[in-house]
Amino acid sequence: MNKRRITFLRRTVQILCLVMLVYGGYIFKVKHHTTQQANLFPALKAPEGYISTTKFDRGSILWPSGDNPVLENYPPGLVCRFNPRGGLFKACIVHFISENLTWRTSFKYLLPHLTLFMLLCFLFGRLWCRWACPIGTVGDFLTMLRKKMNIPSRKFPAGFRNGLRSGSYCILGTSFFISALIGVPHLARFQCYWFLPYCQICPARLICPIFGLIKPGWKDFETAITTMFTILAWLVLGIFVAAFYWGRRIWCHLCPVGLMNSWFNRGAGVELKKISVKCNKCGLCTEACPMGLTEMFEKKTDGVFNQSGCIMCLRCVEICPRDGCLSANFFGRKIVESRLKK
Amino acid sequence: MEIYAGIDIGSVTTKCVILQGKSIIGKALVKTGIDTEKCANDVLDMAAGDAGIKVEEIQRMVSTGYGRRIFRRADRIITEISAAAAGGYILCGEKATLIIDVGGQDTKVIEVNGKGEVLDFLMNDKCAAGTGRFLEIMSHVFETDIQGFSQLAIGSESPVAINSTCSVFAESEVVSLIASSARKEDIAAGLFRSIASRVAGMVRQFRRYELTVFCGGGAKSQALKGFIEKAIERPLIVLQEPQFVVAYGAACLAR
Amino acid sequence: MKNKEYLREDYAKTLKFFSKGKDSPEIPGNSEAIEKYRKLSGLKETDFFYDAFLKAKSTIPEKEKKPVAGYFCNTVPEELLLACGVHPVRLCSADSHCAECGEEAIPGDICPMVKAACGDFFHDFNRMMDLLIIPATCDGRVKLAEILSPVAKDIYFIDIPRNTDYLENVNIWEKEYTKFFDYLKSKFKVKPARREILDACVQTNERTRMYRKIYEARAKKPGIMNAFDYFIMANSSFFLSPAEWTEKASLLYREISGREQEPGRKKILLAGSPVVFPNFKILDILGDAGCCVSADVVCSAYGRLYDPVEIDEETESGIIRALSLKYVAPSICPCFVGIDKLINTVLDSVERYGLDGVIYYNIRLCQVFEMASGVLRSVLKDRDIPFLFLKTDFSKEDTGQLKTRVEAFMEMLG
Ligand code: SF4
Ligand code: SF4
Ligand code: SF4
Ligand code: SF4
Repeated sequence: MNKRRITFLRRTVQILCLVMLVYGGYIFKVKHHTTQQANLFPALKAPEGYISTTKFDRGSILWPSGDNPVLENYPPGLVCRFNPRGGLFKACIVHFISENLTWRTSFKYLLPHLTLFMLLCFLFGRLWCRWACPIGTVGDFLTMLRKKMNIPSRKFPAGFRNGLRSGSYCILGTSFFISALIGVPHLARFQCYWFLPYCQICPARLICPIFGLIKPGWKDFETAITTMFTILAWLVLGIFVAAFYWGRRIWCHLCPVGLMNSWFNRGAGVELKKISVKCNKCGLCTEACPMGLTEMFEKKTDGVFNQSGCIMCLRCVEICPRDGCLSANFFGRKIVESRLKK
Repeated sequence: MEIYAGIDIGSVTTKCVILQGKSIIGKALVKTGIDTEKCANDVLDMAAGDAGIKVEEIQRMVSTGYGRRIFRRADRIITEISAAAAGGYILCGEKATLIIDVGGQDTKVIEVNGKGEVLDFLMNDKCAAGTGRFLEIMSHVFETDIQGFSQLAIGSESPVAINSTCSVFAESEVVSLIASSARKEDIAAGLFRSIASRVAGMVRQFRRYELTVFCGGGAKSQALKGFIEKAIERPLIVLQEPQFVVAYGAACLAR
Repeated sequence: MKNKEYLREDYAKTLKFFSKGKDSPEIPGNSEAIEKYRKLSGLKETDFFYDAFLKAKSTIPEKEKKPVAGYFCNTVPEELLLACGVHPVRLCSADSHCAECGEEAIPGDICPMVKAACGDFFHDFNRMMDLLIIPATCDGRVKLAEILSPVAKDIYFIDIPRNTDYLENVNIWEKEYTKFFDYLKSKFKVKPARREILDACVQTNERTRMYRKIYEARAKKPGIMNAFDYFIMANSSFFLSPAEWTEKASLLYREISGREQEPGRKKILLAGSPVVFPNFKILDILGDAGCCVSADVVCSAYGRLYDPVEIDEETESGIIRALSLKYVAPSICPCFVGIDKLINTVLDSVERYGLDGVIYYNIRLCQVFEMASGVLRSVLKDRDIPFLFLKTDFSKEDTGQLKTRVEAFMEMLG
């Protein structure tokens, strides 16, 4: 059909990111035996006496392999450390925060990592989600499959999307709470079951290792708690697949990493703007929005319409048929604006 | 001093004003006959006679009005809207004015800003409703002329409601009202009020003016003035000899 | 029982009687009008469009060897018809002679466009139309369809809700269009693949692109193409196939883009009721007053051709939704709720092309257009954009009055 430059660019970037994030280690051929060698910032290591006794050492549900990634840093997006040898980054931000809540790492060590995360989010908001997150890329592939099958996508009402967002807050809150709780020395013996609670159910943990041709730790029925996590993980994976297959990016309303990125969306360097008088209310922007957002359609004043749900895919800017109606700006400089496709 | 003429060829009367500088030195009015061009020439001659000059002494002539294209001697042709705007604006001391012109064939409302530029105007529909012609037809029904008709209306205390402003239908409505022994005064007042409310409806489309000027043949009727004032809740300025305002404006534009 | 139940066929006899003597393929006055405007044109490539008007109606079916479907207004998805191998023809007519012919079937104070459509139907389309499609736009057209249904071979009604808000109604549009598509498939016994609808969309999008180029060239350089040529070109898309139209329009575009603009012309935006050949009365008047219609927001040109089909997902449902987002959601037709679209489009065009004023043209007896004008007037007044409202019909007797207004408007613009 019509030439879609942004989609083409985005797909390319997505695939590049996927390759880099999961095979970066191979590509750069970095040998990394110790964490320090491949770290931008001060290394974060579990203090002595903690989790040395956890079952993860035995290579179970969380750890498919003991290898370390190239960089021990944490970008926005569900990039998962759980792929062997390959991963460019260590893990996602939820992993990072959970881990350190349990370890009670001093703030001094955390600061550079948090700053990096915030800087990236401040620059691009949730752009990472649609352009870099490897799990999102996998999900988009499922969406493509559906389109090939000529199955219409499901649209969800605003109430449902808001519900998912609340759910996301619950997940994030619960996993941080559990992480902090098991950091209390008296409760340290629970660490072997409750460590990184979100990671245990995260679909990225199950999917990323596959790219490295490694079998993820996909079942553990040893105790009641591990059984619970195993079943939850399957459930979430099921939701993940179904959500991406039928609901485009509806999953991303639930994802806690996306949630954390979204806090920076409104003030982010990437700004989406609308000039309302040029809008003909065709609704294409909402029709095409993978997150099902409506703000850019409903907005009746000129200006920025960054929404917390927006993953900055720029699909709306691309599809809008009115010249100059929607535009994407980077710190006030116009990058692209909508126009009739050639 | 240079001499200019403005000729307003209306559907009912043709008017001419001759200016020397800013002052009017001559004017004339005739009924527009079948031969519009001859009429225009006649009225020009009459006005020149009134001013005591020869037609050749007139430097520039501007024609306007419904028959403006027919008068071929004109140096410039403008529409009656611009002419009325210029006339009303200059005569009222160059302020932002709203000019209501109830003429023979149409009614116009023109908004002029403080610089004399026309901002917007409205004209009534193509039928005679709400125009001088309508009043004329109605005064025939009452067997009087417009002035007498107007006088009649002023005497009324409770005007009847008249719904139709279409001259044909209003006539039959009036006839049936007379038959039902309503007071003549009240019927006349009702007719004026129905026109006034139409004009007021047009006036309300405008908001940015200080003065409201009433001109054109219709402005000679005290009753119409009163009813319009009541309907728009503003005083109307009626110029002397309101039917010459357009011709005066045309003459001014010849400068 | 003395009074038998009414059947459609009962009325057919009357209609046939009305149409008697009017069913010549030639519409009187049409070719004179074409020659008149052709002389004014000064462009080579417009010849094709004028010729198309001369012979279009009688040649379409023979040339295309396809079934023909006639429709009114702008909310019938042409792409679906094209995909089914049907030749779509928009029947909106504005011929005063046709309006007279239609008088008998629909007498009274009815919009002349509706009467003309009826008369036009008597003339020629009756013979070659396999299907008549009526979208629920203005009441006049809907009722016309019903009146004509006894003689039409087949008739289909697309019931589009009055509210054109995307969020509210997109699912209903999708359902309506899908139903329509299913109907077409069963009627013409075809099973178009997704590819074929997409191809049809490509064709109409090409047309949109070409149209926009011309639209913008005209708006930016006043006088490179006069309003008659422009509307003839736009109107001919009513019955020409999109591919053919695009091809010829691109030649025209090449010709006009080499032309120089006429300096000092006042640029006007024409909005309001559809301007359809041969009712170019309003264009005649504007042209005589020396004003240049640089842009328009009317459904017979801009509203029909300006927006493309943008398909988000190439599933069948996705395509059909996208079609509704081309035809219904952005519709500027005042029959629908959504006057803000019309007003915003006018405001945007005025600013974007630096236009001097807006003229709103209203066909007498078309109430919705007239009602919308009040809002537009007040909005434009607040923004100091000169506005003129003109109400008229097909007759010539008010030309003088209208001319006065237009001339006064031009004097007002300075
Ligand atoms: S919200 Fe979606 S794209 Fe963003 S990190 Fe989560 S899974 Fe990835
Ligand atoms: S609002 Fe636009 S940029 Fe944001 S997610 Fe939706 S389509 Fe993408
Ligand atoms: S796609 Fe563009 S024109 Fe259409 S509703 Fe969205 S912003 Fe408006
Ligand atoms: S304005 Fe609306 S009803 Fe009228 S012809 Fe156009 S689409 Fe049809």
